[in-house]
Amino acid sequence: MHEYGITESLLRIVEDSAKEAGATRVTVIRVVVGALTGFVPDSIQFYFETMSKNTVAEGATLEFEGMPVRLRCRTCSEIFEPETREWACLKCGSAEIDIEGGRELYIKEMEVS
Amino acid sequence: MRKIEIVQGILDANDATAEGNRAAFDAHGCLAVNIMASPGAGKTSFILRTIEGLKQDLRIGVIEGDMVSTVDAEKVQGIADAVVQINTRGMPESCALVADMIQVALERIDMDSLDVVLIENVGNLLCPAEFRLGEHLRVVVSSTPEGDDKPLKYPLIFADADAIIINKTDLLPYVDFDIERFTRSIRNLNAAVPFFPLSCKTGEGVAEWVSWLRSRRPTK
Repeated sequence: MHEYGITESLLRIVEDSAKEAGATRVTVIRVVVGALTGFVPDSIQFYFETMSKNTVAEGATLEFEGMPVRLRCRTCSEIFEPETREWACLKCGSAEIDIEGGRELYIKEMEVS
Repeated sequence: MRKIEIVQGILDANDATAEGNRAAFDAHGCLAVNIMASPGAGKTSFILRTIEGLKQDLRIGVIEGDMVSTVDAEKVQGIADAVVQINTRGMPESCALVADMIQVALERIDMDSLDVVLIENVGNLLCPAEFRLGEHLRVVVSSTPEGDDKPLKYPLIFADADAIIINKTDLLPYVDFDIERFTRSIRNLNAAVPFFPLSCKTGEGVAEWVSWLRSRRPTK
């Protein structure tokens, strides 16, 4: 439900970057979305199609790249991707961890002409 | 056809507005508290109890985020020194407060005459976790009937919290809620976070929370 504002921000960044690069058309936008975020790519896609009308990004393809949850064990410093919801270190079994990755939400790159 | 690298966070604009809000709170020596919980966890009762504990010597403002109603704002009106209601329906985001909404609310509040601003977020454990508002403290209210597995389902909001409230402790004899299991699963992600088990119904445990909150106020 919060993808409207996200899509608006995304489009603003795309338009600014396209202008800066002197591009007349954006064809592909690659977005990185972490597994811990609640953002739904389908909803972003839905809003994007409407909001990008009459912009430099109209008709562009949105490509989403998922980022897995990455945890760092506070006991043995192992960095791992958890296999279940019970987050425990795959090496030493400790459950005391810090979240290293999975909360990303950024535009990585785009293709323009 | 050419590629341009961007690597820009989509939430950067929100974060920048949040920083502005934070500066405004700081400039007025106001402590801002973002209160997040599922629907029905007791956010409004918790706010009422918190105001009760602070109001003797502190002036409290409340920013109420709600999708459509003014029910929560009405309960708080008359007890708080200032109340601003934000109805999120029709706004870009309806499932969480975002920094822009707080910026607008702050224009309608005289922060010079307030010491603490309590922000009641929209009832939801997922979306509010993503948006910084400019708050000093992020507080999650969990209640015992919700079950002790919430941290496993919504790790982000618990991992980033500055305090965890366990509300409705008066119901502990009747519900399956293992406090030890609950606190352990949060400590695993957030080692130093303080827990405040309390009951907004009986008032038990509220004093400990209020005294901690007082200790977090900026020295003017």
